[in-house]
Amino acid sequence: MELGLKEMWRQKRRFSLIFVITLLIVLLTTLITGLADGLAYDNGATVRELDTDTFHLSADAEGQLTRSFIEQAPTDGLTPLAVKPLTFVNETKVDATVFALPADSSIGPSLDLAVGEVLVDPSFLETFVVGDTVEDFTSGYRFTIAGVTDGRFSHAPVVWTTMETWAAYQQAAGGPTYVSALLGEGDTSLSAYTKQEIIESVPGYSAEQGTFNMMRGFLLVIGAFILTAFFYMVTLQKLPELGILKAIGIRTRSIGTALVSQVFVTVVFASGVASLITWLSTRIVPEAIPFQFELANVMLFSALFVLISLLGTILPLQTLRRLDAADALGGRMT
Amino acid sequence: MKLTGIHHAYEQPILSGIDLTVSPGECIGIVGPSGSGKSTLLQILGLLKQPDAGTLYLDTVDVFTLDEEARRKLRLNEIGFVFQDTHLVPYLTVIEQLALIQAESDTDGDAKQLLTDFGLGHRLNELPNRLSGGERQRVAVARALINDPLLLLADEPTASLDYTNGRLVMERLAAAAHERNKRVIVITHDERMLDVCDRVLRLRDGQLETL
Repeated sequence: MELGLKEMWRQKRRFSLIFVITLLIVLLTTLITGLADGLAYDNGATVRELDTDTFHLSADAEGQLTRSFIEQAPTDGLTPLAVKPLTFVNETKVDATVFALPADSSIGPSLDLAVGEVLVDPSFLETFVVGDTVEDFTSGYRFTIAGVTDGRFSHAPVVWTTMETWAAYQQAAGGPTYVSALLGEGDTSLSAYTKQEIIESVPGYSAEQGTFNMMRGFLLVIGAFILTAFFYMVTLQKLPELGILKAIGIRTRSIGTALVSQVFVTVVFASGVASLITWLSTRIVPEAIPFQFELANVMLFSALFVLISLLGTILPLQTLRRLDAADALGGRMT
Repeated sequence: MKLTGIHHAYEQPILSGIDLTVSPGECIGIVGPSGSGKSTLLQILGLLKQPDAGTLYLDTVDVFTLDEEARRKLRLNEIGFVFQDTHLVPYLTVIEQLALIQAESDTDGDAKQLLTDFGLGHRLNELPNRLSGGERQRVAVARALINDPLLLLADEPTASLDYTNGRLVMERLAAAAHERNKRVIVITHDERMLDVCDRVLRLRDGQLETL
């Protein structure tokens, strides 16, 4: 390994080029991961943060909270959750999704609110201020902004309120009285879903994440091909030198370890720098762009990149293994 | 070291019954025209090529009966190579060139002292591209000697040097035989350098003949 690192350190020009290329590919992967995580957050953050893993929805809802209508009274031990997209109006219109839980529930944020009061996502404060009254566009029911709490669902800000407010709103809207889901473990005649299934059922979520996963997958493969090609070419360039090393008795394993260590260090270092740049990007990307730095996901894709790149060393290692020192010396021994 | 009945052919026979015995402390020069088989003979002596027939004894071992890993260990520990273009590892310093061999074989010869003996004590931390041709070839000879080998093989070691530096290198090789009791075989075209050798052989028509 020391042999490989010394070569990298003392032949910086050769290795800096491949480092920059690797960095750009890994950076593209981590930036796309940031965008994918940002969109995932934008789509399902509020659901993800609910302190429950079981959601009971009406059978025809296909896992979509906003399609589920449950008119029965909650079974003991289950907590009702109401979810509905609304358009709020003051002087301007803002689309948001209302989430409602019982005021004494610990599944969501603390809802110490009077009837009619709501907590809003910070993005609301670009249009409104705490204390403003906003009106539901269709029912005319008026909500008062009492505070702020983070929440996003289906690319819209979330407005949290209590079941009492939800009931008052439904009364004003004049429709049937219902909730969207019952939360917690228990026997019901409804369809049960896990939290992950609920998130994946948010409209557009799977298509978005699938697209990003395909892009990341291609980038991983392309990156591995580029690295493999580079180190294969470097190995071919160095064949006479490597032949001399084999001739004087250096083990193929020692020379191979040097090569693998160079790939490993290049990709790990590039991944580290790419992760740092991605993290810094969260500070400069405009808020309008959903971008999130999830360390675990960035680490996962970096680890995959390292793994695939190491697999890519098989080709140059095979060349090295088959290298006949006598052939490499060839015409030099005349 | 005893080479007996070595035959080797490509499309035509190139070595036809080579016998050669080299004693400790002996420096042998081998000359011959291009294509005479010097390269093949050196590869066979260096355990890089198996001949079609014949034996090579190093001490009491017929090396051609050994497997590749055993031959590699013999190359590492018992044979030193000096090449025409030195072939030093370009990214290792002078002292690291020797340390690489030592690390591989777990030996602990005094590399610094050896290099100092070769007049390179002040160049230990230089990379090869900062050395003169003569200095590089002296490093190559030191690298070949660091594991205290039985046999030292040199392939045109003076070809890329001027006369003075070539002469210095040949004297180092002869000294390795005479002062360190090594068996040294030098292939060269430069007959001006052969007077330092104890014996000079010519390879012609697949046979070695004494000059």
